[in-house]
This record gives sequence, structure tokens and C-alpha cells, in this order.
Amino acid sequence: MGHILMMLAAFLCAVLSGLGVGSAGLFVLYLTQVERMDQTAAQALNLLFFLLSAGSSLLLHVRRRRIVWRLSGFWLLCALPGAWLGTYLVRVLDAALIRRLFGAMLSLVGLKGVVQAVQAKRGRADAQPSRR
Amino acid sequence: MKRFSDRERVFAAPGDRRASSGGRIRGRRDAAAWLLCGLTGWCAGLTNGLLGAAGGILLVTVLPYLPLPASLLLTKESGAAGGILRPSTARPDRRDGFALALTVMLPVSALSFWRYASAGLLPEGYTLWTLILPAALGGLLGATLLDRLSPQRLRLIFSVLILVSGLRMVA
Repeated sequence: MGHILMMLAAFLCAVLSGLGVGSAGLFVLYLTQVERMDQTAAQALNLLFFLLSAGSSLLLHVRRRRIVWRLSGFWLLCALPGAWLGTYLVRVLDAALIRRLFGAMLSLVGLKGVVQAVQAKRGRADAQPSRR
Repeated sequence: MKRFSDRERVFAAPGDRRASSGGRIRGRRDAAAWLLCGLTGWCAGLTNGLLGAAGGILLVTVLPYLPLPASLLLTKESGAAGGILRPSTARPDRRDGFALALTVMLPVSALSFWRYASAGLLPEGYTLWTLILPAALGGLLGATLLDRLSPQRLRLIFSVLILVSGLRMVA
């Protein structure tokens, strides 16, 4: 039953991820809040989940989107040492601190999403002609 | 000698002699753009490694405001003699940016995952099959729906959910 619930959660998070709603943290939230998993273990599983879901959606995106490969390559070169340092910090930092940092990141992402949704709603309201 | 138009001048590749006027100022701007761009990529990698998520969101969020180095936006013009590089028509839009972030974060996440796994942080009892099918199918479905839906309401609901959960974790 636990595995089925987890598969369902993974499927829903992957759909949202593909839609660009923002899967960052959603699956980690499920793992820590529902499955009662450690923060770092949940992060590790989330990375595996991201590899699988993003890998499949990237196949479609590469066909349909204009990807600036030079920019992508440059960012990749810069991001890899950052990721190396980040994973080193996971080993040495206190788990409670990582959990708080993760919470702060979630709050920022959530706030950004709320602001964007409100702005988009206002934009649509302004675009509609006034009726008398 | 062919003169560059204003638009071509802005996007001219560094080292191109024909676009020499104002080159020094542009060179400094380009250096600053390289630095900012590199720092953004590094921060995205750090976030991905440290938190196991959110590197891509950082890239997508920053992309519209980031001064991009001209030479990074160049694309090879098909059929051009000698493979001349030309400026691409525009910087990536939101959906292109989303795909761009995926191309960057996928190998970065692979590195992070390998480092987590080699440090023994991967939980036991959860095998690949539990995730592989739902994640792959869900990812494909989401990417297919991206062009057909405008998920504003969905985004609002989940943003509120994430905001509340995040604040609970910080407190």
C-alpha cells in the first residue's frame, strides 16, 4: 500500500513538474511529512525522482523548444562545482539547519508563485474591456 | 566593408573588428555579464546539491533579468559560409527558459545524486521501480499538457501550500 501511495505521489508531482508548476520540494514534502523520511534521505530520493521525470519531459522539450545550447553548456560548467560543494555541505552541516534552509527555499518559491499568480490574474482583469 | 546594423552591433561577437566602436564599454559589460551568468549557474548548482531541488527554479526566475553575454546567445546560421555565428532572434521566453533549466539541471542532479548515494544517504527499501514508471509517465504528461493548459489556478494553490509548509519548516 505504501509503495502504491508513493507511486501515485510521484506521478502527480511529475505531472506538476512537467507543467512548470514547480515540483521543487513537493515530493520532498510528501516524503518528509507523509513517509516520515529524513530530510537528507528525502532530498536524495527527490534527486532520483527529478532525473526520471525531467529526463522524460526533456525529450519533448528539446524537440519543441528553442534551447540556447551555448548558455546551457556554460551554466552547466559553472553549476557542477557548485553542486559538488553543495553535496559536501550536506555531509558536514547539521540536518536541522538543512531542513530550515529547505523551508526557507520553499517559502521563497511559494511566495514567488503567489505573486506571479496574482499578477497574472490582475493582467487578465486589465486586459478585459469594461462592460456597462 | 559591411557595416553592422544597430541590432547586430549590440549582439556582435567579442573580437569582431567590424564592431569596434564602443568595443571597450561593451567588453566591460560583457565581462560583467559573464561573471553574473557564471555566478548564477554556480548558485543553482549549490542549491541543487545542498537542498536536492530548486536549482532550476533559480535559473528560470533569474533568466529574464540576467544580462546575458552576447556570445552565449549566438547560434550558427544554417547555410552561412564558414559557419558564421549570428545573434539568435531573442532571449529565451519563460517556456524556453524552463526547457533550458532542465538541460542544465539534469546532469547537475545526476552528479548530486551520485554524491548522495556514495555518501550512503539514499534510503533503503525504495527501489528504482517505485519511481521510474510514475515519474517518467508523469513527466511526459506534464510536458505535453504545458502547451495546452494555463495552469495559473493550480500554480496559486500549490504556491500557497508550499509557502505554508516552508514557513512551518523554518519556524
